[in-house]
Amino acid sequence: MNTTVIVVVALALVAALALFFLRRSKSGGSTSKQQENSPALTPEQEELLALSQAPGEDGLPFMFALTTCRHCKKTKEYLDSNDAKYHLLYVDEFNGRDRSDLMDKVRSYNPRGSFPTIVLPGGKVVVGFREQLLREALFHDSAVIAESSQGNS
Amino acid sequence: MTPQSLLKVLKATAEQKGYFLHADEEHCLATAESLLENKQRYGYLCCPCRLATSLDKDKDIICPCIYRDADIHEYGACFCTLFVDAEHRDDPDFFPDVDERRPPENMD
Repeated sequence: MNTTVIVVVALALVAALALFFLRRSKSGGSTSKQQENSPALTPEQEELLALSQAPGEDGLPFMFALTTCRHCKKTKEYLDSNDAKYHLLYVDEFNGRDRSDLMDKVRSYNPRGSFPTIVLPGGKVVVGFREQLLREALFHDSAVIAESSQGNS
Repeated sequence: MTPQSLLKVLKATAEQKGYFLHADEEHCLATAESLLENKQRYGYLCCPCRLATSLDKDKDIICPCIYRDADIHEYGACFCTLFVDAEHRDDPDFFPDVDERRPPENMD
């Protein structure tokens, strides 16, 4: 009788331990797969992600772009050659939830969701490589804003 | 596959439809490099001017995309300006602003 009880208790204990380790290994596996799909963000990406919540509000244009997009490269070249200060976030460098949240953000400014989408301080949005629009928005508008604020002070 | 060999294939298939590669060779090579980068990343030649989602959802934007005909008809060039019509085949400075015609619901 006692032997039977001991065997049953031992079997239950073994089953409980097996269940515990099985669950632990499954949960560990899922975490590492998730990490594999969404590599850790660099501090710079974390900062850009935070800034993308309110693009343009820190006074600098915010460009949503793709690393592979020629229009984005041309826009970057134009901005750099004019010594413009701006934030640049490559949406295709993000994965999973971050990526879909970023696309939602891009679409909130540009319903077509195309690249580059540049959100300027003040809320104006330029889509694509539009040199003239950028020139007007970045240099003419900002000069007008600067003059107007000087006049008000 | 090299960017040059990809361009060769794209050029041949485009010309069957009366389209041509853009006259700016540097632009074409850079676009082909981006296409191959997407092939490596996603497994298919996703349009480099658009954000890839998955093969299942991106069938319309595998280069050449299904919007090419309409874009070339309206603007003389495709969305990435890789392909142009006969009228602009010799113009290396032809970079029209081509509006995105892919329906937003296809991007989800």
